[in-house]
Amino acid sequence: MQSSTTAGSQGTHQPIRTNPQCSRRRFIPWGRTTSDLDVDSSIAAFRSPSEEESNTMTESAARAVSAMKTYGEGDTAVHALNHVDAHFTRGAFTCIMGPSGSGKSTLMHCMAGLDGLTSGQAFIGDTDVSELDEIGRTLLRRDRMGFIFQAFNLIPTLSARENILFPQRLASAKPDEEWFETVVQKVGLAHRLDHRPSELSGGQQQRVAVARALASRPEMVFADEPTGNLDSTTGNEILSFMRSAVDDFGQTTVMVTHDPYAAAYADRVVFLADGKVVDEMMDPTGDAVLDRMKQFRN
Amino acid sequence: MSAMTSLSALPRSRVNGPDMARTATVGMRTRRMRTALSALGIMIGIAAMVAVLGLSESSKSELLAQLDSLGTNLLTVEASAGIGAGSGELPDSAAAMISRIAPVEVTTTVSTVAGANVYRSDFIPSGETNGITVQAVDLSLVDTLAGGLHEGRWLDSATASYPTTVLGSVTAERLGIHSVTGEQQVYVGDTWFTVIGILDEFQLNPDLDRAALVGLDAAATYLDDDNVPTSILVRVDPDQVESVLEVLARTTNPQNPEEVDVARPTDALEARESADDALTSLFLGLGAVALLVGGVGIANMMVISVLERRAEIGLRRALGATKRHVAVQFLGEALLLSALGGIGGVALGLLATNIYASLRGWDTIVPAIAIYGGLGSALVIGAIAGLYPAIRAARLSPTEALRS
Repeated sequence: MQSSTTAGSQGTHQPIRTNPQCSRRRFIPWGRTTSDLDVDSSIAAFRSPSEEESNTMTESAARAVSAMKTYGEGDTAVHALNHVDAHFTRGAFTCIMGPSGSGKSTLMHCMAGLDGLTSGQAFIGDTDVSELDEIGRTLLRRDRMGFIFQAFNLIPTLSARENILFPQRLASAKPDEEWFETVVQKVGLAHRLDHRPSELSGGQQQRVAVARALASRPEMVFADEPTGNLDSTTGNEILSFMRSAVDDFGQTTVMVTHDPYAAAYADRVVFLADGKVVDEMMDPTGDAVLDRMKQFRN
Repeated sequence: MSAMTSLSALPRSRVNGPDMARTATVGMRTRRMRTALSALGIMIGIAAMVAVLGLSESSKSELLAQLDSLGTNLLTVEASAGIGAGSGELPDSAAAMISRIAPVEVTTTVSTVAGANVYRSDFIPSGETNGITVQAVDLSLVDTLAGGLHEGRWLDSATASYPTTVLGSVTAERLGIHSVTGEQQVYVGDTWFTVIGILDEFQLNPDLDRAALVGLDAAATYLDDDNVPTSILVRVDPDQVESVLEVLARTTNPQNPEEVDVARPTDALEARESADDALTSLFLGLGAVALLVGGVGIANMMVISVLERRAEIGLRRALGATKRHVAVQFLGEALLLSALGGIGGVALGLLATNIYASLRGWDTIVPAIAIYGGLGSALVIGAIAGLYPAIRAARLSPTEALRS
């Protein structure tokens, strides 16, 4: 681990390594004021690959440190997350797997700032999500996260185009037309943009959701069972889009699923059981993940 | 702490105008029937209030115009009648005494011709009097009462001494005389009187509408009337009405001032108006109740809307809409709904006022306060009705709302 000089000047953060893809991902969010830009450029420098960086993908885009999430109190307390330590590599596709009730969705929600931790820390980049207040978490989600949900979750009254641009509209940001076209081309939605969600098939709706998640070039995309409501063909299509977003744009992606063959699209699988990280697997295959999952049954 | 700084330096989410209008109208555009029904409650309330205020204002302005033309400076002096109340006659000298009060401009005497009845012909049974009286009057009567001639001529110094009569409006109707030919005669006492005119309604003295009016001389000559005044009509200087009122009874009958009734006829019209005011308040109250019920309707609809759109709210929150965004969206929706009802209600109220006023031949006058107040109270009701659902929507946690 090497300490970047810029990072040192910024404070007491962890040493940062980046892979070259980061430079493509690093963006200046639209619509920011000059003062914002100053801060951003300092962060950009902080993460800049111009430093003596290697190609290893060891930099954490997000980390959980001894994360606890407890529901209820006393004897009836349920530990959805029980001292979870996990990291999610920048520019990589990480999958969180585990049986139902293992806490995988909770981990994702807490990492993404949708929910708060009971104790412990969750970092997105250098931001401690657990220290943010409600508005801070909301802005974090708006400006730095992309989401894909199981039930597509598009706004029914908006067209596909408006849905894709919705987070940016919330931020009063001016969309980058070129990037929008790129994303729309990638998911093959160019001719369906003016349709309402009700006029689209499930697969098309999920493609809109993928485009929405990518459109603001977020630091991280969180996908919660993105193929859960789709047949295997369209499911594979969606997973391919997500995979190619990682490969082509260096999009850091975290996906929660319990489908071993969906997990095979990831670079790395983190296994959760009973609120604890129990295992992880690099370059998974469907069968290998399935075998690993079978052990949870026993 | 650089990351924290960068975060707080992020632009706060803003709700811009068109965006807010869009999101707030989503519910309305997609649920038209429900929107219309819940706006209807507010609309009825506002319409009722605007119409009531408009009608009362229109009728008030009509009354003021009427009072203006009739003059509020007319006083009537009458002998009080009844047991222990006196003779029912004023002293002979009354008219002369009254005209000596300085601010008095005109006096005119009316003398009821006792025992005289009016019939269409001498074949009519004597019992069928139609309730018509015969009044011997001064020539100045019509001017003093600000009355008008419907047809024919008013009495003049010549016809006042001959058996001629001018009929009050009700009298003419009851006798079936609709036009003045100059040859029409009615049987008064035991003399035929020629009808030379028919009067318009007297606003200030409806008693005279039910009378046949004859000259004082004619009454003395043909009907044996002694011309004792039963009532005297007095026009006074408009600025001195009150002071004349005080002395009028004592001037008329210095011995027994209590046997004299003094009245200002326009007071009766004003009293009628204030009775209308009481009704106006009642209807305003009803309008307010309708408004309240309308507000409850809107609140109810908004609560249901929030429940129905839990998933959407959760999604918006997840994608970065702040609590304020969500609250503003629902509050905006409630406000829009009530504004819609308010505008509709004002329009409906104006229409109702206009139709009623033109049916009555009044000018349509709606006070500005009714319009602005109507819209304003609609918005206030909307804001109150929307507040709870909006807060409820904003409090939904994104994860919980997404799960459902």
